[in-house]
Amino acid sequence: MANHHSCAAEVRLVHQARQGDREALTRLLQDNYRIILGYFIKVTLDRSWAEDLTQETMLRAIQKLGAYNGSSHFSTWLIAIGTNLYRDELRRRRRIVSGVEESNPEPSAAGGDPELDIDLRAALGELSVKLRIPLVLKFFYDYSYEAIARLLKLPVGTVRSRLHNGIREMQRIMGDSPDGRTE
Amino acid sequence: MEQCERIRRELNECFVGMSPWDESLPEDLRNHLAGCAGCREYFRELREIGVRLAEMGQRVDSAIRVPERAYFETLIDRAKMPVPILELLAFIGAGIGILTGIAVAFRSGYGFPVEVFLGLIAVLLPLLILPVSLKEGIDREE
Repeated sequence: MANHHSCAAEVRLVHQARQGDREALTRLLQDNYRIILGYFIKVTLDRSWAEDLTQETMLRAIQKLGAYNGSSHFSTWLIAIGTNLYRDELRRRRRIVSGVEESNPEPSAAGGDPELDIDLRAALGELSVKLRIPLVLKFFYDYSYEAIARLLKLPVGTVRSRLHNGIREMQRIMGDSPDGRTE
Repeated sequence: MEQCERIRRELNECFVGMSPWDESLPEDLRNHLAGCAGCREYFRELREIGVRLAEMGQRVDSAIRVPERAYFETLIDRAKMPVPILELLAFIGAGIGILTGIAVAFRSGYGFPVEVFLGLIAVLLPLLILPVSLKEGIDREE
């Protein structure tokens, strides 16, 4: 996973941040902002929602910095926190708007990011969240099956089958789409 | 046809296990692709999706502007403010609002029932909100 810091430098920054070094904490957050916001844009397909989730993730991370054990990259830890927040938010929305499935977060057209390929965005948007998240982690961040499984707290076999189903769905949706270049 | 289905399952397996830019495939799959236009086309479509996803990811990431330090410092300040203080501030704000409402109701001559109703809200609202916010604050394993 790409990161601005080498592992040793990151560990040092985390250590300093835990000791109360504001400068180190600011740098850690600043250096990981792009990764986290990028992740949420790809998962939610909605820029403003992604920005809110990024902010909330960073707030949680600051509060729970003591719980970070350094066994993964700091960005991976942030993604894990963020994914939990995103799932919670989906559940909350589902409770509020009864009848709307978790599988359809309804990315708004207005919130769409101009950098998102229109037909890819549409195809990703049609995928259920449980297929979309592993797909994003795999294809955008090149996480291994095992890493995705750890991050999502799922068995490796489940991750593998979700990736298979996800890519098959993408292929089907893009094949059906009149804009799909795969036709 | 049965062989093609098996090969496509294996192609899927390889595809999700490799980087989108990776061109390597096991020899038996490569041999099959060399002689089967249908499976070649199938794999080409798969790879095109992978490459387009990866390119889109790069575009999204490179278009993100990282905010200035002040943004992160504000976040740190907000995160470090203890939750009870935030709640206390919220309750004080709500309390002032409700007491003002009672005073206005009293001066406007709405009478006893309205004052009692607002008074009950002033007492019950914090009691209802507090357990919820405390529950939300319980740490989950991240």
